Amino acid sequence: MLSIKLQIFLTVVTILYFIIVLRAVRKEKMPIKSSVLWFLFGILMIVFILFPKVLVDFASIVGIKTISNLVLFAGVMCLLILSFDLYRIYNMEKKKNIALAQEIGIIKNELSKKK
Amino acid sequence: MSKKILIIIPAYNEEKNILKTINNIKEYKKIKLDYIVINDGSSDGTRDVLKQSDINFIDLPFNLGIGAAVQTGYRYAYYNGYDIAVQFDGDGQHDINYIDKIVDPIISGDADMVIGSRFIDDTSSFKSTKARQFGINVISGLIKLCSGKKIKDVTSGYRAVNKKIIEVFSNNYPFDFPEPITNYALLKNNFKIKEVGVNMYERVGGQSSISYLKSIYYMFNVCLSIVILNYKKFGGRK
Repeated sequence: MLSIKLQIFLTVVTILYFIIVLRAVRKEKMPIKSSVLWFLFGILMIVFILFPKVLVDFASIVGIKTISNLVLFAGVMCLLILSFDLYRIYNMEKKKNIALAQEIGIIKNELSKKK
Repeated sequence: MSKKILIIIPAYNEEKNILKTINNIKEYKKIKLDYIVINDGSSDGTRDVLKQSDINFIDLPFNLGIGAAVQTGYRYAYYNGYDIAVQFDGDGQHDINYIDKIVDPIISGDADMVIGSRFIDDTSSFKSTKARQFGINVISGLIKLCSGKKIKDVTSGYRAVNKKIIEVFSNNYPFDFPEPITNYALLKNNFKIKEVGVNMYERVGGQSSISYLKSIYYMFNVCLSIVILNYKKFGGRK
């Protein structure tokens, strides 16, 4: 179980996290639509800090012995999904970027013929 | 009615060879040919050479890689309503005198794509290295296994396509290992592919885009792509 000290520390970290996400949304560095996911993540963290028993119960259900292993596993999985998604987006943008470059090349060619 | 034919010449750092290649094409009079050079963000003087000699070329803003460069040519062919497009290397490997052999089956409607092959009826003196021939044979065998049809020179970059395929390629062209992959994808989609024997030269200057160790990597990658391609769409513009 978490000590009060650790709970307070983790809460402070989570609040900082919320502030960072909020700032990003306010400065329009992140669309509101995608901020939902990041807020949900923060809310989940708060729930786990306040009621760590949820995690312990869940760990025993899926057969993971210690709660730290569960957290670590969940963290790695989240990062894996996230990086996969980013890679997918990167490739889509790369394709668009290449199509743009091709079109620019063709347009430059047409312009030079008109001169 | 005569068909509009475009030769697509991708060029990346080819300042030494490109003029000779284009002059050979210009001197060829048997059939009427248009050409377009794609300067793929060369870091040498290719661009200046092209500009000074008043050559019809597309200057890509940065290096896109061979697949995307060739696709630029197909886009150009599509926008300008060409009936036939022929891929032709800028480094002097391909022999323009065989172009009628490559284009004829398309004009007569016998094939949708014609591949200029090094391995048919000993026309070509240059056959590539043993390692690469082995790789080509493996890929060729896999394509035969998956599609039931044999293409001997699967990696040949000297090939002609008809209007329908120009449209498909302008919309959908793989950036990595484009030749073997498109060959297979076209077979899978019931396009007719024909191979004709052509002459190829050894590279005059510059470096081939595929080095020795890379050819093994190339082979595995292509094989994997071909297997995956069974589960992928390949079509024209909607």
